[in-house]
Formats: sequence, C-alpha cells, structure tokens
Amino acid sequence: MRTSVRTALRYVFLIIIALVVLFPIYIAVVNSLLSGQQIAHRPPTLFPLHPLWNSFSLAWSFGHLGTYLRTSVIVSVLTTLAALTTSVLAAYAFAFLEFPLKRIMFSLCLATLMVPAEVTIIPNFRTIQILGWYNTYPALIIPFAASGIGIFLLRQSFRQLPRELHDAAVLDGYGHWRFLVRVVLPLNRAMIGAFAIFAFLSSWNQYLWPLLVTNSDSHRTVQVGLRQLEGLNPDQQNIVLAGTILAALPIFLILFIFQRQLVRGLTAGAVKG
Amino acid sequence: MASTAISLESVNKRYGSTVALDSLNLQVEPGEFFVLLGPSGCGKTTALRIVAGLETPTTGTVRIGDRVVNDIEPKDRDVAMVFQNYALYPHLTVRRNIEFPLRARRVSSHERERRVMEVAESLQLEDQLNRKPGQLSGGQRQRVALARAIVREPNVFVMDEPLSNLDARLRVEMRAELIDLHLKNGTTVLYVTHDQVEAMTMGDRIAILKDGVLQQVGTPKDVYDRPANTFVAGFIGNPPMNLMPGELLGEPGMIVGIRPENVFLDDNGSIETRVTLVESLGHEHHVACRLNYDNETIVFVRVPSTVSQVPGIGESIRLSITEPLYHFDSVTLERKAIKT
Amino acid sequence: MISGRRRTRIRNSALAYVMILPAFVIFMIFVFYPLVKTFYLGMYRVPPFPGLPQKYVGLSQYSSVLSHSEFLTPLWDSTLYVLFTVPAGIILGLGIAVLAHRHLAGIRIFRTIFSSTIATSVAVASVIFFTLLDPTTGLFSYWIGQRGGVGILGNPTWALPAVATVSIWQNLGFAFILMSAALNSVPDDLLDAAAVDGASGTRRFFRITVPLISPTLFFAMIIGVISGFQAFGQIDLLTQGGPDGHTNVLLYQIYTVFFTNADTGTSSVMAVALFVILVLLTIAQFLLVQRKVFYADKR
Ligand SMILES: Nc1ncnc2c1ncn2[C@@H]1O[C@H](COP(=O)(O)OP(=O)(O)O)[C@@H](O)[C@H]1O
Ligand SMILES: [Mg+2]
Repeated sequence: MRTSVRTALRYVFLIIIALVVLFPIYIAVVNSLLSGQQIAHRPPTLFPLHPLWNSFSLAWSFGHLGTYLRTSVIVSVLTTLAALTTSVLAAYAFAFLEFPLKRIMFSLCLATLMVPAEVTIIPNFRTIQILGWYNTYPALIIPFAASGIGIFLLRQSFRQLPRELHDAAVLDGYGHWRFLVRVVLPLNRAMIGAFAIFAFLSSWNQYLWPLLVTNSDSHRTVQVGLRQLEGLNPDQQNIVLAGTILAALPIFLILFIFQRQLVRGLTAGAVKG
Repeated sequence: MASTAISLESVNKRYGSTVALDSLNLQVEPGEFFVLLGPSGCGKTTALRIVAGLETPTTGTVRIGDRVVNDIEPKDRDVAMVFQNYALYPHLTVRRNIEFPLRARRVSSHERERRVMEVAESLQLEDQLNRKPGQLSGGQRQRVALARAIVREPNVFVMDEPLSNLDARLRVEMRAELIDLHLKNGTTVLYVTHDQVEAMTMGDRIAILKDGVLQQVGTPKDVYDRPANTFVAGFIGNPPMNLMPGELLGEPGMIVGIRPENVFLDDNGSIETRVTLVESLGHEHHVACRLNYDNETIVFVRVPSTVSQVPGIGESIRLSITEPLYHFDSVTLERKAIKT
Repeated sequence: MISGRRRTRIRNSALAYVMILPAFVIFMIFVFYPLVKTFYLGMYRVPPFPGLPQKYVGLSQYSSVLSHSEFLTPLWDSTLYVLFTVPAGIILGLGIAVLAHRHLAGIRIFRTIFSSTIATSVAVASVIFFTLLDPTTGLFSYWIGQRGGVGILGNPTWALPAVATVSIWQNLGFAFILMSAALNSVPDDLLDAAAVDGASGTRRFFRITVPLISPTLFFAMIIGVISGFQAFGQIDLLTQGGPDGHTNVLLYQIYTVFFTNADTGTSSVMAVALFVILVLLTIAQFLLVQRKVFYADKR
C-alpha cells in the first residue's frame, strides 16, 4: 500500500514538473498558431481551435528566417567540419607521435580552454575588419575552426586504443595517415560523433560574435536573426514565435536523432572527473 | 652463409633510470623455436620489441639474418609479431584482420584471397572469416592473431606470451598446435613466456632472463639438469628445487640443491621431518616437510599417486634422497661444476 | 650519414607539426594574440573625438576603470546573476534527476521532456519568454495581474531575477542530463550495501550519492559560474541592460562601451578584468572544493 502511494506521489511530482518545463514551449506553439489579436485577447486562448499556419510562411519570407537558417546551417556545418579536422589531426599528433616541445604545445592547447571567446572580442573584431571579413562566412567560421576541448577529448579517446594496435600497424608497414584513417577514426566514432554534435551546437547557438561581425540579413545567423524578429510589432507576435520555433526545430530534430552521442559528448568531461 | 636468424649483441635498454636489458647477448639459429623465459618485468617484452624494431636499443647491435637492423624500419625487417592481447582490430572482420598486412604490402587481391584462405584453413578459421573479433572465443581470437602473422610469410616470428590469456585447457591445445605449425613451416620463432612449463615443452632452446640479465641459455634438458645458478634452479621445475644452506666436502658457504623428485618417502630414511602441507594434483602429490634437524628448512617431495600411503599434515615421516645433488656458491649463487 | 631511424624520427616530428599547425595558427590569431592585445589596448586612452591619436596611459587606465562604478556596478550585477542562476540550477537539475532516476512506467517520456530545453538556445528561450512577459499581451503578465505599464522586465527589482529564471529554465535540460549521467555512474551495489546496513534513503543520498557525484556537481558549478559571467544574449534580448542599468551585467557593459561608445581602452580593461575573474574563480573553486570532492578514479 505505502509503496503505491509513494509511486502515485512520484508521478504527481513528475507530471507537475513536466508541465512547468513544457509550458513555455507549449504556449509558444499555441500563440504561433493564433492571430495577433487573438494573442492579446483576454482571457487567453490556451488551445487553438482554429490554428492559423500562415505565421510560419510569413516568418520564413517576411521575417527572413529562410535566409537566417541557411546561413546558420552553412556556418555550423563548416565550423563543425573544420573544428573536427583540426582537432583530429592535432589529437593524433599528441596521442601517437613524439616530437620536440610536445608537452608545451599540449599545455597551450589546454590553456585556450581558460580563454573564453568573450574576453577577446575587441581585438578579434579588429582582426576581422583588417582581414576584410566583416559580413562574410570566414568571420563566422575561422575563429572557431580549432577547439581546445576537441583536441583534449579526442586525444584522451585516441590514447585508449591499445598500444599494440599501433605497433601491429607499424610492423605491417602502415603509415600514420593510413593508420589514422583505417584504424583510429573508425574505432573512435563514438567520441568523434559526440564532439561533432557538441561543436555543431556551440556554433549554432553563438550569439555575441555573429552579432558583432555581421550586419546584413544575408549573413546573419538565425540566433541573431531572432533579434530582428523580436523587434516586430506586438500584434505580430505570432510571426515572432513561428520564427522562434523554426529556429529551434533543427536542433530538436538533431537531438532527437543523436540523443546518445549528445549525452556522451556533454558528460564526457564531467562525470569522469 | 646465414649463420644466425636473430642475434643480439650486448644490447642494453634503459628507460630513464630503469635498466630493462643489461648487455644481452642472444643467438637464435635459423628454424629454431627459441623461448625467452623469465618472471614478469624481467625485460622479455622489451627484448622482443627491440627485435621487431618497435624500440631502439640504448646501445648494442641487433642482427636479423646477416643484416644489422638497428637502422631498419620495423616494416622492413620481415618480422611478424603476435601480441599478448592479440591486437586485433575490433572494427574489422576476421578476413580483413588477416589480410591487413597484405594490404599494406599492396599484394594483389587475387593473391591476398589465396593466402588468406590457405592460412584460415590451416587454422580452422574458414567459418569465422566474416565475423568480428568481438564475436569470437579467446582461442579463435588467438588463431586470428596467429593467422595475421603467418599470412605475411615472414622470416621470423616473435610472439609475446601469446597463450597467457587462454584458459588452462586451451593453452595446452594451442601449445601443441603452435609446435605443429612450427614443424610444418620451419620458420624461426622467438617466443616469450613466463610459464616454465610452456618453455620446457615448446622450446628447442630456452634463454632465462632475470632483471634484464641473461642467466642461462640451453636446451630444456640442459637448463633442467645443469642450472647455472640458484635462480634458474628455482625457476624451472614444479615444485621448485629444494635449496638449503650446506657444505661441500667440508667447505662451508654452499647452497645445496635437490630436486623434489629425488627425495623419497622412506621409512628407513635418515632424514626426520614433519609434514606441513600436502597438495594433491591427482597424478601426484606435492608434500612439504619441515626438517626436524633445524625445525625450519622446508623440503618438497614429489610423491607419485601410485604410492598408496600419502602422509597427512602433522605426521612425522622419514625421507631419503638420491643423486644428483647440486651445489651453489652462497655468495655468487653460481653452480659449482663439481661432480658429486 | 643520417641513419634510417633518425630520418624517420625527423619525418615524424615534421608530420606532427604539420598536424598541429592548423589548430595552432587559429589559436595564435584568435586566442593568444588577442588576449595579449587586450591587455595592451587597456593601456591606451581613446580620444574623445575621432582623428586624435590614442594616448598611452599605462596601467593608470586599469586603476581608474576598475575602481569606477561603470565597472563595479556591472560586476555586482553579474555576481547577483550568478548567485541567482547557479545554486538554483544545480539543485533543480539534481532534484529532478533523482526523481526521474528510479524506474517507473513511462519514465522515458518524462526524461525526454526534462532534457528538452537543451534544444533551445539562449536566443530562442529569451524570445519565448520575452513574449510571455510582454506587459500588454504576455500570458505571465496577465496571470500576475499586470496589464500595461512597464511589466516585469521593466521593474528594477524583478528584472534580474526574471532574466535569471529564463536562464535556469533554458539550462535545466543540460543540468538534468548531467546529473542523471552522474547518478547512473553511482554503483548500485554501494547503495544496496548501505541499505542493507540500515541507512535511510535520505542518509544514503547525502552520505553516498552526493559524495560520489561530487565531481559532477563541481563541474556543473564551475561551468555555471563561468557561463553566468558570460551572460549576454538573454540580456540583449530581454532587457538591454535596463531598467536603469539593473541588468547591465559585465559582458553587456563591455559590449556597450566597445560597440556603442567605441571606447576600446575602457572595454579592454573590463575584458581583462573578466578574464582574470574567470581564471581566478576557476582556480579558487578548484582549490576550495577539491578537498571535499571525492574523485572516484583517484580512490
Ligand atoms: N615504455 C616503458 N617506459 C618505462 N619503463 C618501461 C617501459 N617498458 C618497459 N619498462 C620497464 O622495463 C622493465 C621490463 O619490462 P618488460 O620488457 O615489459 O618486462 P616483461 O615483458 O618481461 O614483463 C620493467 O621494469 C618495466 O617497468
Ligand atoms: Mg611482457
């Protein structure tokens, strides 16, 4: 008896928390399907009996969400690929090769973790101007094309490979590039996937930097685009929210598909201490 | 003329302050099954890796055949290695694992297929070719590791405790298989183990290593019958040779050794003892007895199971001994080559 | 003559440098150089109107800016913001994770829901709450009986707590995932053993679970504080630092001084201060908490 009461109580708590967590998202969806007047109407509508879908197409074209999303996808995918490439290469060198100054260089990679991008925006902004990259993709991508975390996590992962696998490949005459491609990459798919998701999300969610280095709609990412959208009239809130949902949707999908890698990526550095 | 297959001349290897190998000299003859035996940490793996080229000796010369190979890349030494934990690529099928070295050598796909099939057949792996290592038993993985070495048709095999991860029964089976294989293709094998039984049953010759220092090289019979020092005497044979302080022809400062099989239960024997431990192995019993003489020294006796009366713990029994007795200098621990 | 193996070693070193070069070029240009440059820019005073040269004033600009309220007030706002977000975020994340840890029918649905806010960005969360808190049309404003006026985000007392709440909500998914993973790493047999020894549920939680997951709690605290001091998007989208500077956190102040006032000298000093604060906090937290943290793999 007592356990069933406790179980019921547990469900009650779970449901209440779930409602609280979901509520803002739910209302955002509801209001995106109402007209501006309906949103302002009191008492408020909590369930849209006659959903209006045109807010989404308006957000897409009139709110430039289509352009913003395209920019975000291009920037995030390229940033992820670039960060992955530079991190895999550096991690391989640190894990499998001996060379002078190796430890110092690795410490420098770790030191970058102590320097948040926010601290260096002022000179970086000037660098972008000097390079003529204002309002371009390189400005959004290149500064994040290397990752201290990526190098660290991948090196840790690479080092877990038994030394004998490398020895066997050396004896068989496999060079480093072939060993990297044939053995190291396939055997570290999990960590590479986790880091890729992490890099993609970090890039996708950037706000301050894209705000600084772009000012044209054609090169604004979707996060900064939401800022433009927010400035619409109060009676256009349905468009604002439709745009917000469009901005969040890709990430919901990615997280739904790659749940396991994500949890791994997020917790790799944390739980293992 | 190829005088030796592998030769190490005054090879030293240091890791920081650790001396892993101390002026090691070894000559392995062509076609020989040569065993490097010693306790864990004595430098066996280091020696193998130096032969394979995975480590460079701090000083000394390594030859394979007539070539000095110190400056030769591992891949150009024509040495295939079998690793203790197999070193199979978990993401590749058995077939891809076996042909891995051939792909590196750009062997034609036709030739590759032929050689893989041939090796797989000889190791009974035909049915496993499309599986991944994770789906195989320990014995099968071991075979794949061997196959990957054999398929290269190398001049020399080096094997680092290849059987140590198998259970006792499989180990005995694989021992026989390895010897079989060696007899069939006659390639030189440098084989590392810490298991003296493995060494004694498989090796044409055995080199015993301790703390990076070579103790003795010889045939199994040599090292058993004429151990160079107390370490070899104690390391080879189970139970180990009984060693006790004693004298030789009135000269003190000696250690006297006697193998347990040369000690007998004998009601008329002159040695009075008390039994402290009995281990029954089925085919024989190992009986540990404490000498009444000093109430301290323990002597092991090997008692065949044909003996009906096995003594119990605490029982007083008498022992007698036969030749040979061994004598070791108690300072240098070297055996005195005096016939008794 | 160079021996074959020496040549290999040289070749391997060259290969290693080639492999780390791309990452290092980027680190040099976009991390290390600007870090040093920021220090340096902090020593130059920007002229009051364009056309005049920047004036070298050395460290005096550091002492004047850092003792001025244009720095100290945002610093205090950032500190408050961290105090609002970090403890509450960790406790909520852990509490919900504990609640969802035990196996119940349908628990996976709840876990998915609790993780869901991980998919929202700062911008998405901020815009959603911006509409909810809108003084005329927002549902929250309606519920707390406000209609018209400046709304919660325009209220000097409640603006910062409101922004903090948005952040807690937005980070809840991450906190939940982190804490759940930590709870999963606590071996069941330890808890079982304690239960057999008669420890109550609460006691088991505080005596076994909490010490064992303390590395994760520590990690969550560090990144919570660091990201709290880096708060920007939520301020920019919800309050623009207002009302009357009550949500003008440090990074927003740096942004304003640099971007709006074009004062690179003052903003660089503040950026250096932010950097030093973050490094010191990380080190201090590490030293303070280290002794109380049980690192499972250091046994
Ligand atoms: N890479 C290394 N770095 C430092 N010490 C090592 C290394 N490899 C082996 N050693 C040391 O050298 C000695 C011999 O090791 P090893 O050849 O592996 O012994 P074995 O194979 O006989 O067990 C040991 O003391 C070991 O600790
Ligand atoms: Mg070894």
